[in-house]
Amino acid sequence: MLVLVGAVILVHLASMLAYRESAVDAANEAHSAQLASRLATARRVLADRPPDDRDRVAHELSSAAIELRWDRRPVTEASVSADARLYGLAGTVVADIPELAPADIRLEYGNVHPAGDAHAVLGALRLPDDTWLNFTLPVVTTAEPNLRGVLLSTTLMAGGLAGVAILLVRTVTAPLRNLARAADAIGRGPPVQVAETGPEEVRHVGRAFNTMQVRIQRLIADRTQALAAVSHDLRTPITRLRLRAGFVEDPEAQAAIDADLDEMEAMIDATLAYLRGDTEPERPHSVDLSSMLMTLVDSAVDAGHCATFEGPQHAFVTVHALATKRAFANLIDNALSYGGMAQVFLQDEGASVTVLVDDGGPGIPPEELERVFEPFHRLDGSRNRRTGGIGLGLAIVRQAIIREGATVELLNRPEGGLRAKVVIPRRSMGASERPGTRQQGTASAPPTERAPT
Amino acid sequence: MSQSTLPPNAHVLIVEDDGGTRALLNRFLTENGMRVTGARDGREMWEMLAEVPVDLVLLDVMLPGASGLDLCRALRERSDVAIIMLTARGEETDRVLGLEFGADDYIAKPFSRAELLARIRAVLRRRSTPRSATDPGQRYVTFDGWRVDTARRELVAPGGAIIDLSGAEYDVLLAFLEHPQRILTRDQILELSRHRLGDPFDRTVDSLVSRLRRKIEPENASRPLIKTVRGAGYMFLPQVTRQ
Repeated sequence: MLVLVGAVILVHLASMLAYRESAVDAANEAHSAQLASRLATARRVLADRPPDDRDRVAHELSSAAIELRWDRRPVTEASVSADARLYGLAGTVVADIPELAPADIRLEYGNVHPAGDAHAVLGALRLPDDTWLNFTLPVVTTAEPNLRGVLLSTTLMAGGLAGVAILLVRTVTAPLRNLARAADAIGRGPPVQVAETGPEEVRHVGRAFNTMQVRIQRLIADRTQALAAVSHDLRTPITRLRLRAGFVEDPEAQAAIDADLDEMEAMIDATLAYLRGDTEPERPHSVDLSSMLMTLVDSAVDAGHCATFEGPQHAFVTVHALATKRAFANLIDNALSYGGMAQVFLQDEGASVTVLVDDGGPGIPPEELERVFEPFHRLDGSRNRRTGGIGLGLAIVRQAIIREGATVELLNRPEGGLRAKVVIPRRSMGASERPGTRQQGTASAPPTERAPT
Repeated sequence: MSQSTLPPNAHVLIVEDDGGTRALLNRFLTENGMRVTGARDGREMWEMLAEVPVDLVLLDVMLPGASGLDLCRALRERSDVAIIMLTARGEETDRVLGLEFGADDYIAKPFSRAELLARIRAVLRRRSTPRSATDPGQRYVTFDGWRVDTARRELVAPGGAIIDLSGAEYDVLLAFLEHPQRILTRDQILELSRHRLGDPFDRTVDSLVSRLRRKIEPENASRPLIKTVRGAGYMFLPQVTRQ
């Protein structure tokens, strides 16, 4: 775009310069020739007239461009000066009237008006009988005013051209820009359909892109549906197994079967929660985040874990309640499983609510802080696989949090332990009530009472 | 939860299309002292209901033909029998609709045996005890600007926000709402709590009440909603209305 505009300006300037030179030359030449021929005619006519009649005739031959008079003396004594334009003019006149010697022409600049601002050329031609044809060229600047007009019109033209070019380029590139944006958005939210506009080729690309998106969408939907159906249908055999386990005589075997079923259920729940994601029919509603976190922390405490909540009694936000609760449940579960404890803090900042979930574990390598949010990504080694599920916990968290227009990140705390930080913006102000009030240590159990997970 | 309050040999009708699940449920509930009849679909359910008196219908949501939700609504229109819906876990709409259509409770599949038994017993016990003076048939219960949606089991704050309660907290709140301005002992509260699950971790009534207070009482404690009556128990102070 910039290159285009630059080129137009450059070409315009160059052509203006060239035109100016040649226009001045051409105008001068044409003017001189015209002048010369008129002077030659006037000289011939006057020479044929009786002297008494000459001044009247000269007067009649005058026009706006040239004023002629007859006199016995030249109006100026100056011979042809060194001025290039007067010299050129004299040369043309002399060439036009063969019998005229260079000495027979006088030319000089003079002020015809008393104000003295109108530049004029005064001149005289010697007649054969040694009288003089005097003449005045009222305005000597021939090409200049003309040139200004030319400059104006061509600049307008160049500007218009540049405008049209810019419009054209925009028409061509705007669909491409939209396409780039849409391509960038794939996999990060709802699909973006590209408007099929612009030139033929670009329209083609847009159409191909849209159909490709539809195909991808359908492909994903099919697979998702298949996976969801399998996960969903697994619940029936699990229900049967659960009931069957009740008839197992050996209590140890019964407990083991139940534990395995718990694990299977957790995997299915996680898979379905992740797959359902955006398609969940739940509508956003104003909920009290504090009471939600209290419930989660209390239930962890009841299960024998070390968990605390610190924050205001109420913190109202408008979110998808179930999905949000599941996200925080996952964060707290992670803290308990990998970090031995969960300290939950809520801070109400008015425009947003920040929730921190801190654990007392070893943290995770910095290069993993972002990657652990990817579905099925699991940290191996130090992490206990038995508590790990299938690696969807944090993917579900991120999916749910992003859907609320909120952010989630993991940080290694300088004092040790991992911190999950969630910032939820308030969709509409006024939902906040009594921000900044705090309540301390609502639910906690000493770490020594922690039960094995 | 004392089993003595249960009606002897309660008759449970299982409406479930999966034969294996139906047979296993039948055996499990029979072993736990109930009389059980199975039905494959809505048609069989209506036939059974016409033949024998039934105390409780265990109704699967996913049925061939008429869905469990439709059956639930139709059943509630004709009969006062106790209904527990069997829903798939995570299917929030089924759960909410089931309760709004008049089911007494729901159980998400796959359920644990203890949960199934506890919920069936809680519903049966509730059905066997006479209704409290204030008619619990009304869906909304309000107090001091707060509102409880008994169908959705939701507590809504004066500003319209949903306050998250655990199941046990909700049950304790409901016990209070059914007996406002009366001293309730800890044992009474335990007894009144509707569906106490076979929870291995003992939550005392005191801790439940204190958790409830933390969620619904003003922070500065200027105007408590629940009053501690030393040596006796608790009293719910606000006026309670049903609509």
